[in-house]
Amino acid sequence: MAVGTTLAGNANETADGIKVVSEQRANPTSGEQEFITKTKNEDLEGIVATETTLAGAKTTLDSIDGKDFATQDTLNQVLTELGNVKTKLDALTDGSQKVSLNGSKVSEVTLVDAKAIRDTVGYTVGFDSSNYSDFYFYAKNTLDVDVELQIHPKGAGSGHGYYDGTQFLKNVTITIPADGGYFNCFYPEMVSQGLKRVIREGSFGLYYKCDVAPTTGTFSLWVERGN
Amino acid sequence: MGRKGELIMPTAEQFKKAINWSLQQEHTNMNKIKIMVTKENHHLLVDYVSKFFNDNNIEYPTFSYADLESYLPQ
Repeated sequence: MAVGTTLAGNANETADGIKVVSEQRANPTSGEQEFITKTKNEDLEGIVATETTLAGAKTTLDSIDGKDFATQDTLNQVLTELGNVKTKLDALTDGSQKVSLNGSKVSEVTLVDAKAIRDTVGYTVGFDSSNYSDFYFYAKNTLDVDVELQIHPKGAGSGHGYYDGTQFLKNVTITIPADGGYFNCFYPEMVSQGLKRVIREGSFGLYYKCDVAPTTGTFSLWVERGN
Repeated sequence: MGRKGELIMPTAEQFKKAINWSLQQEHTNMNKIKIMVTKENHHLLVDYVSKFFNDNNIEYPTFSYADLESYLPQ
């Protein structure tokens, strides 16, 4: 359709076969003379656009035509940023990054932070559970050897027996498999039902070791707890 | 080897070299997704530092992320 062109008194036909008629008239508001373009297409019958409106539409179209819509460079930048976010998320979700959620009932305490164990020495780490009613353990083992883990009431070391109310327990061990780094989640109750009461009431220690010295990988252990 | 046959920690220079190399490595995880080794990812960083020691025949004892912290770039 002809836009911004004076067609006063003429009837033209566009390439689409739409008949266009332009005529001059006095603007009912301002009284000024203006050109009115009308189409004769049945679907567009009754639609009226002034030269001013059409010129405005053309300006808008021209401005859109000049816009820089998401070039390849822009998309690559977005992709890079997404990659950075993903890296941070991976670090958060594989347990290698300490996380503390202030104001939330859930928090995380790292007990063993990415330890490249290369010997068969037994290590211990303590945890004060007295202020927490519920918690569970997470472990990640990328070592090429299983990790043997024991949980003891505070003061009792590896090899010490302790009375759980019905019997003496000794050397109760859970194996964290060398499975290439999947998360292992377990509850204290899984180690021993008898430990539940002891652990719930105070501090305890964790003793861990490898029977064979690993040559690659790391081991991490942390606790998530709810107040 | 140190006293009583115990392994001694690599030097500060060796740690820094291992860390700098590690932070340039790309790791393919179990889901076949490639991620860069960063100092925020403790597991990966320690894994790659120990790999550097292994590949370069540098003997080292058990160590953890805490042992790397003082050598990390700011």
